[in-house]
Amino acid sequence: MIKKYEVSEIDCAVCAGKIEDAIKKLDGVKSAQLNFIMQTLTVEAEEGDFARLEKEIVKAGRKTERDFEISEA
Amino acid sequence: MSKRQKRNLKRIITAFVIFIAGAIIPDITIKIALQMIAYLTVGYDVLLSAVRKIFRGNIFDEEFLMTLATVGAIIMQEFSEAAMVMLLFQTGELFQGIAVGKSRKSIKELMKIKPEFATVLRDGEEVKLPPEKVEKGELIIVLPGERVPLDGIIEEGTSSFDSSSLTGESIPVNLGVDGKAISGMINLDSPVKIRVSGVYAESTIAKILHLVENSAVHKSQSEKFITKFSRRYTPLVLLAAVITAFLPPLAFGASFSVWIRRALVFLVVSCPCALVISVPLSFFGGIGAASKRGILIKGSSHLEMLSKVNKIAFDKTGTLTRGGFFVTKIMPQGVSEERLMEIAALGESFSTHPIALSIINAYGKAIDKTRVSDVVNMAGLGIKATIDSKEALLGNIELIKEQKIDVPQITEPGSIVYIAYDKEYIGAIVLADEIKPDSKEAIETLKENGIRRTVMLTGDNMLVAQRIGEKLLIDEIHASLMPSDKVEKALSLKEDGEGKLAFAGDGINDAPVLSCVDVGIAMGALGSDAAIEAADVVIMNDSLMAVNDSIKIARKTMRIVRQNIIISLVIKFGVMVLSTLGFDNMYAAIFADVGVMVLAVLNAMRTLRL
Repeated sequence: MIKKYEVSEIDCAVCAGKIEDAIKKLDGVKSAQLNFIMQTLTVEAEEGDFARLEKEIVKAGRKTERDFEISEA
Repeated sequence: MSKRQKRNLKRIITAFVIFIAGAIIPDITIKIALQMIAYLTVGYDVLLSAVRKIFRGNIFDEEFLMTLATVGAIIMQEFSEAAMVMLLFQTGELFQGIAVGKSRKSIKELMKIKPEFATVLRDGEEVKLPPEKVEKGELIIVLPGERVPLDGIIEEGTSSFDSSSLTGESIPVNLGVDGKAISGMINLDSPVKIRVSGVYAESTIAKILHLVENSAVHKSQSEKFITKFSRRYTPLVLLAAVITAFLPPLAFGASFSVWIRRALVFLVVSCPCALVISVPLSFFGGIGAASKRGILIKGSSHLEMLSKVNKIAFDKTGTLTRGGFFVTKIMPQGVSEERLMEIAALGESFSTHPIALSIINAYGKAIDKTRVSDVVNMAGLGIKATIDSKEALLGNIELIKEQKIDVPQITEPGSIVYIAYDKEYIGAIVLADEIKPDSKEAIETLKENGIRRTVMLTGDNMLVAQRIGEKLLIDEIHASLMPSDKVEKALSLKEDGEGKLAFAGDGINDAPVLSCVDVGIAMGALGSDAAIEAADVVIMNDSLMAVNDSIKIARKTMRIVRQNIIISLVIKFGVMVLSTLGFDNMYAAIFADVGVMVLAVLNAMRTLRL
């Protein structure tokens, strides 16, 4: 299942790349793409994993960008 | 400007004022104090975040590097440098944020073609629903000024529609009953009722949006290069800084303070931001600019390929020509052109043959079918009918001859309909496939723009192919090709010399060729799913000029990308080399670094206006 999120302000493309890498490494994520320009995050994972993953994604994001936040698009 | 940006702007201004005050005041203690206050005002968040990141082992981070550079400067008692570096760094960040926000806005503007709602007739009542909730076969109402939310067939009403956001074509199209309304068009004149032919997810507009939004997936070589490069750049610069700081003093007994200062300059230019931000931004801008003209490029890798194209193969029917039968010549004998067409249209009015439809279409006026009776379809010959109680014959020359009516043999390329009325030959109508009005200009322009080889690949016979090829001045013609022959020919063209091969076809039966060439271009794809699937570049309108436009946009985008890569690298390496040679001015370094970032982003934003 693929889910799409809107991502709160990320101003730096390097950070976006780092966050994308971090999300890809999360357990259960099949693929992830953070589109810096559109400010969207597309994640592919099993349906049951999303509730847990959403928390982990935010946590992973905040390691690089303090205000990192996602909301379902 | 977002709230955070406004807050940062205020901080930068405050810090700048304090910094100036510090520069004016002669007392050395107050001066240093003010400079440090300015430094902390503008940079406290950078410092905090850097400290946090050290604990997470995230040291190749620009905030950490800026902190290292400025703290290093403070230790070297270069207070004003430290403050200035932080001020300019933050100014640069702010500017970058604003510029990126601006580009995002214009890109999102392009995406605004998504229909917001659909007005559905359910149980006799009008209900406003999101387009996703409408089912196939339902009837929707589209008022003037509204966007057609779903693909469908018009059941009631006639209106003109603006399809410019889909095709880039500014002339509105007129659609009446049975007309195909395509999602994303804007209704201009009067209300129409449309029978929905498919759910939203299958609609043209949903497919276009999906395509544009996901174009970032197919990353270009340049982007891949930048990603790889930026991962190694920062650690390498850091290593270079360490070597610069310690090697000369330890090996040759040079002064530590001199070489550490030089090393600090390295840190200032250690962020690859200019590249990392400007290259994807350029691609996105280029793809956005193209989509404004009805050219959908499926990814930056395809844009990159497109910029290298110097050979193009064309399909004939539907690409160079309009595809189908069109009245190319009206040859009346003894009657007016008008009268000949009237008889022809009346006679064909009960037929659904493509030729009949083309004649009715060319006649273009209302047909009073009550004037026609006793229509007989004579297989292989034509039609016999009674018009205004007199006999009319429409068909090939045999049909007329059979009735012992004198008829001249006409030699014109295409299909010929001979017409007799009341036992008298009154003329003929020639129908043929027609070259698109701008095909010739398009081929000429392509050649001017450095396309060295133009080729026609067609399944049609050589005679027809040659007639069109010669008119368009196409370099090579390959006719009577089976689909598999087309692929073979395309593959051999691909091998020929330098440069990339593009193939432009209507996408309906060219899918294998579209996918075997470097860049597959599907033409006139509005409403054709197969084409959108198979191609790398999808041209929504019917114009061959768009092929030229797409190549031009691709080349300009790539030029901007290259400029940014070169400028950024030259300036950064320049600063490092100068610094090791002794021109270790931190002011100059941060100016260069922020400057090149700003320059690169501004340059990238030019693509939006291509």
